[in-house]
Amino acid sequence: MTTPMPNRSDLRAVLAAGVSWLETNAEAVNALNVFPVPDGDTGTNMLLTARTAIVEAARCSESGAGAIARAAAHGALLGARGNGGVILSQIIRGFAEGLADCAEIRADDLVRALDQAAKRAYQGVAHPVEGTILTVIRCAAEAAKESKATSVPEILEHATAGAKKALAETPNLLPVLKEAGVVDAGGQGLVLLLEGALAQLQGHPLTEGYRTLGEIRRGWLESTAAQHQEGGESAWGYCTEFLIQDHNLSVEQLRKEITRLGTSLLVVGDEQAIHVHVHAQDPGAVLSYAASLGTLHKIKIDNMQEQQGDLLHSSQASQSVGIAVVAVVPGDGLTRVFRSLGATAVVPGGQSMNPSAQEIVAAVESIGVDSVLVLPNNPNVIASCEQAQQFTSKRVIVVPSRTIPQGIAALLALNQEHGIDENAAAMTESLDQVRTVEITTATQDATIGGVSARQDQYIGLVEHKLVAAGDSLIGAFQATLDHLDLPKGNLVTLYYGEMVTKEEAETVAEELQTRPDSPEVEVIQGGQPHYHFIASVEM
Amino acid sequence: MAVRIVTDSTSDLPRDLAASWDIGVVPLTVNFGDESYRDGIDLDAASFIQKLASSPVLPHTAQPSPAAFAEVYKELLLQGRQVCSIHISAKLSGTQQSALLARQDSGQEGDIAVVDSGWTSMGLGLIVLHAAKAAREGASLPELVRLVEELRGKIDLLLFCDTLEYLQRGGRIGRAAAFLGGLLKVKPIITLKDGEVAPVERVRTRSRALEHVWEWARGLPQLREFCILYSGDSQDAREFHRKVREHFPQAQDYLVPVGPVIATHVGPGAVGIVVLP
Repeated sequence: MTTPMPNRSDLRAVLAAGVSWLETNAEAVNALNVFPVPDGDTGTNMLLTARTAIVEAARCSESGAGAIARAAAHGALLGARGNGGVILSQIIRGFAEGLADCAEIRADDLVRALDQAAKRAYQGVAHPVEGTILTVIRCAAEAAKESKATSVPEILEHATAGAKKALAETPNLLPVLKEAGVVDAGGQGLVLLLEGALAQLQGHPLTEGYRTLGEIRRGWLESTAAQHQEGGESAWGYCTEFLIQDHNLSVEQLRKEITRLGTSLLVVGDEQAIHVHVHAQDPGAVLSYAASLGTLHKIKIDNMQEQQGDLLHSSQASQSVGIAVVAVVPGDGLTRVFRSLGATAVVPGGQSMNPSAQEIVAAVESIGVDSVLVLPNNPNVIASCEQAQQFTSKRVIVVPSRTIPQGIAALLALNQEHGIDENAAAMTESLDQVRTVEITTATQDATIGGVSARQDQYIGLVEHKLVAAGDSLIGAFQATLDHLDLPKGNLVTLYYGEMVTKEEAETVAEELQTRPDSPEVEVIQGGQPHYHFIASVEM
Repeated sequence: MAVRIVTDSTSDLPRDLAASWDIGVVPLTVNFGDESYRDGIDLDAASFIQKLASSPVLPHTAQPSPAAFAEVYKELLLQGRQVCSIHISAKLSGTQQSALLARQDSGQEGDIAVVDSGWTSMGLGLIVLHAAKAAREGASLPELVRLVEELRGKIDLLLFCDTLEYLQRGGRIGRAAAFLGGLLKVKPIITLKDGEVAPVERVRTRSRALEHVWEWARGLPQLREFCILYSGDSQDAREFHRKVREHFPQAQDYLVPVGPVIATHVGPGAVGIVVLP
């Protein structure tokens, strides 16, 4: 690893090393998630965002570091998912802006790039909060500036040290972190990227961590750059992802075999663990082969045509579209509800409600109008929706709905007889007219805001905030509603998730109707993952 | 001799008020199966709501026949009068069509003007009252036609229904059809635009609907006359009436239950307001 490489591979290899190290530890970052619900895993979001960055960097045909960084930024912005991903994409964007057109990165270029990265990060957030990834990038940039070093590796070393110090401080800045006893997940993700990049630059790639990280071979990026191609042949079949673990795995062998079974192949790892991503007509064949080599984990298979079809179908189904609305929605039932209320296109929220900016852009582009209203329906998605504006010449107006019930309230306020700005205002105003209750089970033990929940207990959230926990679903639900001080005879609408039957939902509804504040309860099939019930309470 | 004003029963004018201004009201019909009732004569607001609750079949409405108009016009023409016949929007009912046919048959087309009010219920009612007053003061037929056209542009209306069901079944849902198909139960808030039903907003609860119409009324810069409309129970309408009267103490106020024909199309539990700013 000490042979000097030409510049081109240097920045790409450094970036790739950072991403590899993040990937190695992505699960550990996810585990820092303070909230006992599986939405918006920061580690995964940052990893997915960073991956699209390096793929774009690999495809860039120019040689200058500035050009490569610009390509990486472009990829990151498109692939940004969730809050963590979006802020990371802004950091990479700032980094690229700081490098401008430089061919080779020198010490002062790096200092400037980190400074601009920090600026962009803060600018990208409406209400910056200290104790997050923002603090970490800012301290990294400051450490780089204050450093008296003159070589790029030394400056990066100081920046990384500054970042780690800031990360350790985050529990002191954000009470919720202190209560949970963790550091900020986004900040940790950034530190991992810096650590990985630094190790590559110093010629000692990282080997500790979750699994052993193998040596990054020269040309890795070129051989896997075919992955994530837009459209075309990769748009049909099954998107198949899994992890193989064993003792003597061979990345090359695996790649050679699987390449015959599918396209858009990505194989990353080492002798002990390999992550595979492939688009295959016969996912069974891929899995059978892989199972013969080791144990399979985290298997995920998606019918790509269904995902594509969903977006296409919605744009065909909209007859004469006046004001168009794109909504991010998890679950088949909820999708039907949104479409029935007038949503023009629905972007599947997926397992953890974090579509990329690109998916949102695709939905926006699929509708034949000039301006589109977007309903994110989750705080994690708002940023990606706002980011989508950069990639389309259509006007994108984001109505900042933070929950599904808010999205529905907004959609009810839609009036095709009015102009788009008037609608945006009315829809935004309507968001406060509902309260959102979510009932699910805790994915881990947690204590937040004085409320304690054990793993697998039923928990109740109001506006995504934990308010109650209990051993029975109905108990947790009642306790959660008790928090709301409901007026008598109000309307509660229950959207039941994929793990709940209609009968079970109706039983819960009956129970709730016996409350002293006698709500009227309506039951609707939502089909959403993770949340047994999402309930809107009309205030 | 003063011009006489004729209208139809969808105007929802209280009987004695119409009589005191010599307004001729031609009734539409409400049919429950094969039972036929003249709107406002054989059936009034309260008895209609009762019948709606107990009847196995849903009611349908029908415009008056040309003969019903012919009879009224003939009587007035014999008195030597001219007639200004003001009616429910042509987009909502064929009533005007019947009136026009009767006018043709009368042989005295120059003495009868059939005018589209663009409204119905007390939107039509308030216009008719103004015309009656102007007629008594000696306004000519052309002047009355102009007056109606002027008021048509000034009147406004906002109303919510308990459910979309009646609007949909009655077939007069117009542009509010945009509200149909939702998987959630909603209460539509509607108005009339260019003589047809137009959507304003969908809300989920009655309290929010009442809030919406109240906020709208309260926000009007001025109010000369208003009428609170309702179908079924009057409690919410009375409270609404009280609040508007308190806010606009100078305005001429009315509180009127909608008649059977209108109630067929909005269903029970509707509350609304007609305003003349």
